[in-house]
Amino acid sequence: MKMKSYLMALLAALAVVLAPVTLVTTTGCSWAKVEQGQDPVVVNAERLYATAEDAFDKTFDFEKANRVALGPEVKKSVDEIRKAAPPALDALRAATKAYKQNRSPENKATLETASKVLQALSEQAAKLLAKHKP
Amino acid sequence: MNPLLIIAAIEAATKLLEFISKARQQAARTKEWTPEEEAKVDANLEELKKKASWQIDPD
Repeated sequence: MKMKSYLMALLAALAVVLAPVTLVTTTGCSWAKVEQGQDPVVVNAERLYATAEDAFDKTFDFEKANRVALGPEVKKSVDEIRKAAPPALDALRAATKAYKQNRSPENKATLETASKVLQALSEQAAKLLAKHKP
Repeated sequence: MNPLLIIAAIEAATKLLEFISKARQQAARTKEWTPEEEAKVDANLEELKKKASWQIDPD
């Protein structure tokens, strides 16, 4: 019982961390400045990628390490993210590379779409964890 | 209090702090990645995809 409360507290803490991370890294809501001469579209996409990847890794590690205590419903939800995360990360990398090669409006639109998909997935992870607050 | 619980709590707190620190560093970046950094990022994703925790285990 103590272990369960402890795990729930950890999940809540992780959710508190993940929520601002996803906000910070969105293309439209960046808190950090971008150096002069640097393209904010690229810098924000790269920030989003790095923090989302790390957030997924921590979420997957945590769920796997505490699977028995968290139960099958949490596994099922995290598995959905496990399935969607790699292609979403790949898509953002591909879109970022294409945009860096050719900064056309079309490539920018593709990059923004890929960013939105990855951002939504990060938020899904954060919401999932928040749902399990004690 | 169970010593194992204390150890687990310390480990979890350490990992959480590492994560916060890394996230803050990434969020504070002000420049585009260099080609070397890009190569590292791509290699890292390929490694993560192989990790056990990234796999979907049967129910």
